[in-house]
Amino acid sequence: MIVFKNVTKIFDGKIVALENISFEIKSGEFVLIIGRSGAGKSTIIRLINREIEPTRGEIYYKNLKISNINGRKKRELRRKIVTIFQDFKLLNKKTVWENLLLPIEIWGENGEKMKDKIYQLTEKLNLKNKLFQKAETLSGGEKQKLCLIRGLLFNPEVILADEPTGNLDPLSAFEILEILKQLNKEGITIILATHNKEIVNSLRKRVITLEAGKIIKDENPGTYSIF
Amino acid sequence: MKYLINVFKRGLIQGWYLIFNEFSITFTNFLTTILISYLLWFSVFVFYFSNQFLSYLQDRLDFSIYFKPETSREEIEKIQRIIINFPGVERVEFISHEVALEKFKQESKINPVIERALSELKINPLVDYLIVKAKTSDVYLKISDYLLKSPYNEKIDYISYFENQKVIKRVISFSNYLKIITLGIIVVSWLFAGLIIFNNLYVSISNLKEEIEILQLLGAGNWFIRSPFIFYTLFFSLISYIISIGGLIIFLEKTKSFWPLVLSNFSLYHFVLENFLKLNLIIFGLIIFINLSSTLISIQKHLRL
Repeated sequence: MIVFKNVTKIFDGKIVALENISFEIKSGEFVLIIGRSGAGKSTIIRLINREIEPTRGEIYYKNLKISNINGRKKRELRRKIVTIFQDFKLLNKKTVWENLLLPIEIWGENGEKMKDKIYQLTEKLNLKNKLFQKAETLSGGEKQKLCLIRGLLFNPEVILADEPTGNLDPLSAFEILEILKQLNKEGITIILATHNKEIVNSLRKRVITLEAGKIIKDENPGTYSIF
Repeated sequence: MKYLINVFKRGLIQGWYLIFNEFSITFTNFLTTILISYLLWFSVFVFYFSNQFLSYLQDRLDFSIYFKPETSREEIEKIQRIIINFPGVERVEFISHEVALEKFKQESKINPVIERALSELKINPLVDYLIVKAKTSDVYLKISDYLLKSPYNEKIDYISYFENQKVIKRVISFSNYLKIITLGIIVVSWLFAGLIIFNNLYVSISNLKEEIEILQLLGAGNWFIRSPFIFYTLFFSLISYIISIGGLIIFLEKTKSFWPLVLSNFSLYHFVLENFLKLNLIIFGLIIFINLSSTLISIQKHLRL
């Protein structure tokens, strides 16, 4: 589904974030990308959602070369591959409802149909009673749930999660991971970048380990040693 | 099509909200646009005034051909017929030296010194002459050129036009300088206004950096993000222009009776009223041009998506 072929990313002509990495992620997989800060985890996430372009190499999504797409194709890609972040990226001064209407406005979808979907998803993730609260008044876990609902509105095929539990208390973090596991069971491919060893140990999924921009291990569930 | 409608809708709504969300910036943009609109109106008035002043002078231009005393009435009438056939000539009036003396006496009645001098003179010192009235001043030049090269030149004592022409040339030259200086001021002010709006847009973009980043991540296209800034410019340009027009109308109304005192045929009020639509289209078009181009350059530079 997602293929990296000899990808290198160099920032400002000198900072090597990724060096000649290759891997493949199959549809429906749950993959953890781990490594220390600066190892290149976030760079992989940003390359997949086409926030940045690789310096060398190619990236494919369902056989479509996405490493240099622009315009409409890039927009379409962000509908199929959604990203959640450690710092949430929400409009804090706006309500939960307004935050959820934003992607609907962007895509100009049928309002009523999408509003029904908002009700369904907020109910499923226990956020329905906070719909008209400002995002800034939500807890970290609730904010991350809101980000997930926002991403789920258009039935994505892949969820990229860049340290999604980094700002959460253990209970909220556990809840978010459970939601991600559930979404994965429903068929959504999950790529989770983290440096949290508890998450890695508890999930028991495929793990790609990065160090200084290189893949040093790519292990399948059950084969890797616990951190 | 759906995308375009979406972009338009977003631009319209968010552009309107930007006016209130960024009010201190909007206020500066309002003032800049109002100032520029008044400068443009001022330049229009300068052009109108100098043209009116020139036509006022030309209307009063005295083109008279004075003949030598020995020139016969027949010869003068012959020259009168030639001149009347010149294209652009309205009328040619013959004034005999007797009529000229009578006119002079009438005009000098209030001056006892001249009146006494005239009564002491035994002869009529004045000569026969023709007064020519043409539609435009260039006709006078053609007539004088013709006469100077023709055999009638030796019958002519002098032509009054040349003395007046020097004054007219000076006024034209002054008027041209005035127009150039006005245009210079307008261009410099435009550049300043453009810079102010360019930088204000940069501040607005910076204030919305986080929202722009989120929009991008959610798949918003370039014009979806940019359109509010373009509509914002259109809105503040339109509103400030309407305000400036209101102020201008009050100014013209209050000074309606003053301008004809400066120049009899000069009425700013009627000039603006008669050309209201045309002038507003031109001035508003220029304002939109400067504001929108500054906005687009600012967006292109600071909102690279």
